[in-house]
Amino acid sequence: MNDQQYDKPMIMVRDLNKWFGEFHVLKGVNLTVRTGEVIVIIGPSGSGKSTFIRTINRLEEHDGGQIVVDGTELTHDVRNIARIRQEIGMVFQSFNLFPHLTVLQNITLAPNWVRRWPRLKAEKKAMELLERVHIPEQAYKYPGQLSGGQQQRVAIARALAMEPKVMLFDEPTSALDPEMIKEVLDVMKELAASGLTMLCVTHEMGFAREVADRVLFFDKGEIVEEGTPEVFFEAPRSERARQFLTQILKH
Amino acid sequence: MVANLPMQRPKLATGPRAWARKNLFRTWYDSLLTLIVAALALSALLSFIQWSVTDARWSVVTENVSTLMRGIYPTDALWRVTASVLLVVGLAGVSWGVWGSRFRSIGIALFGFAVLLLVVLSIQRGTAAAGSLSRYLTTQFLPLLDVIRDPLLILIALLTVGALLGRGLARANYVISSRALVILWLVTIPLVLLLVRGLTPNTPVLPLVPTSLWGGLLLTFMMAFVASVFCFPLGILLALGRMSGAHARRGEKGLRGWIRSQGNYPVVKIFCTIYIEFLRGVPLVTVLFTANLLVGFALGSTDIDSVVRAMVALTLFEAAYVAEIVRGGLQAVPPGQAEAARAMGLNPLQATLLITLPQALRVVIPSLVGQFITLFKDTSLVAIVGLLDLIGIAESVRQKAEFSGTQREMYVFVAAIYFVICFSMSVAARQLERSGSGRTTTR
Repeated sequence: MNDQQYDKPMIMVRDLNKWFGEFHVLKGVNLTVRTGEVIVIIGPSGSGKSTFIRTINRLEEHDGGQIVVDGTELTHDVRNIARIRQEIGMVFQSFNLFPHLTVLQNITLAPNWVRRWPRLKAEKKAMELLERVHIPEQAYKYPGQLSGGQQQRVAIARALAMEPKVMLFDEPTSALDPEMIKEVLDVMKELAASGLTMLCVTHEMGFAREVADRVLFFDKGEIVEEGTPEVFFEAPRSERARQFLTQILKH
Repeated sequence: MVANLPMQRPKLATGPRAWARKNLFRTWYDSLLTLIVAALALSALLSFIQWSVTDARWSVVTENVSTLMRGIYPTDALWRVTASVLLVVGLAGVSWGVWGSRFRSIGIALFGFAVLLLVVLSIQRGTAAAGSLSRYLTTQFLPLLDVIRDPLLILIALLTVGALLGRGLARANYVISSRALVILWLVTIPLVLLLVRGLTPNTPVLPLVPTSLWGGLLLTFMMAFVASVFCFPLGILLALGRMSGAHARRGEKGLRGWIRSQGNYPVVKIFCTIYIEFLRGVPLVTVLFTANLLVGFALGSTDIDSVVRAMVALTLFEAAYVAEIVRGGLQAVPPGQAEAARAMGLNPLQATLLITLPQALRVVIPSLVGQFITLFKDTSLVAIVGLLDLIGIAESVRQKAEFSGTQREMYVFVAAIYFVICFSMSVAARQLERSGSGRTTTR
């Protein structure tokens, strides 16, 4: 990875605040993500890390602050939201594949209906992506016929089909059996190496160490600490991060 | 070395005797219960048969079959009803072939029924021998079979031919034949209405047959048909309307904000909720009476005929129930589905039409069919506002002096018709559930 591709900010978040009722989930979060950067977000559950990445494509609405993605600010304007969502792919913990559509239909749906690609172009792209996530032979099956790891790889292919500039991963391996985690992480490593801008919420510390350009540690709605994985894992500055790491590494 | 042999599954006793022992006579109280229920069922059946053979006067049915079927629909236009029935049955047959899964068992059952019908009829009409059974057979049972034989045989043949055709088409190209079939149904529905109703009184082709001449099973069918066709989309809209305030969201102020608030329309939600709860809270009879008074008033004319009024009432009433069923289905779709759809940039309309609604409808097929069966039976209430549907005609026929005291015969016949139709709907629905939707698992 070279440093030149990092100069333009892809995502800019300024003083982001959000409440769930009386509960202050995000307390003034600031973050700038450069193009091509891979960011891993870790932290205890309930710390607001999932909520944070869900505000970036407005699955959650923010109550204060500013989010700018690729030069477009997220406001109540539906056109802005639509534009930003087209540029951001998202992968969920529970896959959220559409069970009534085949794998191929799952992947071509958004290119067909949002990008208005002709069917053949969308299907060609879908088959390329299925090759990329190593399951081209599953194209005509339904999601229910696949294993969890395969389903999550289809979900990744589905998100990539829109040719997004940013990918958000919301605990993509947390619902998987141990032997399937590796196949999903391998695909994610390949994506990171290809220069895609990625934000991953995960508990996979090995993955974080290997591919992250920066690690963010969330606690109680704030970014408590951020740094390169080497610095963060070897010498965490904050007491809270140290505690969290010792607890994680015990297992 | 016995221990190394693969373990065999222990042999299970099979066959009817084993089944009966396991399910009917497992313990002494099981046996007692079986015997009591069997005795009750048998005695009811025997007394029904005895009544039907000795006392019943089936002539009330056989002599009035045509009135029961079509009321006073003019005979010279009857071919239009026949053509509609043939069209719908043929198309149903093709649909069965293309979409149905259990072709063989139902096919064999239908074929067996047809053969039975033919065999019974080809038995020599007994010379008026003594004994109540043969007298019953010659004077009562055979005339009834005579009346229903030809139509039934033609329908079964049409259904079977259609199904075989559909099988072939599905094998050749399932996707295209499936799509073509949907389009054909969409064309057939208005076509049937047009055929039965006609254009205007003076046109040479298809002159108008006013609804005041419709009656009997024809009227029942047309009411159920029209009401189901219209209450289904209306119910879906109501359900979506009622769900539209589900996620409270802050939006821009003013009209612009309201339009852009992404599926959050509290006014629509309140209207739909009031509509649904109100119509579910009143009996159909009141809706029928009210519609009788109000539809003409609302449309600003007094000559809306009462059949149309009843159809409107039925549609509006059943739509409220369909809406609640569809809403249940929508709620059963995991929220992650809509989230994923939104995250990939689909707009709310696309997300609903492509993702949530198809899944919701698939979940509620059984309840929806139940509702359509209810609707079909609900049409019998229009007799109360003076329409001569199957029940209305049956009632007026048996009140004639020459048929006095035959209400049992009449209602047994009417019940049999309702049962056959509703049961077929159930069977068709089970086929629909099995085809294609077995693969749905959420996640």
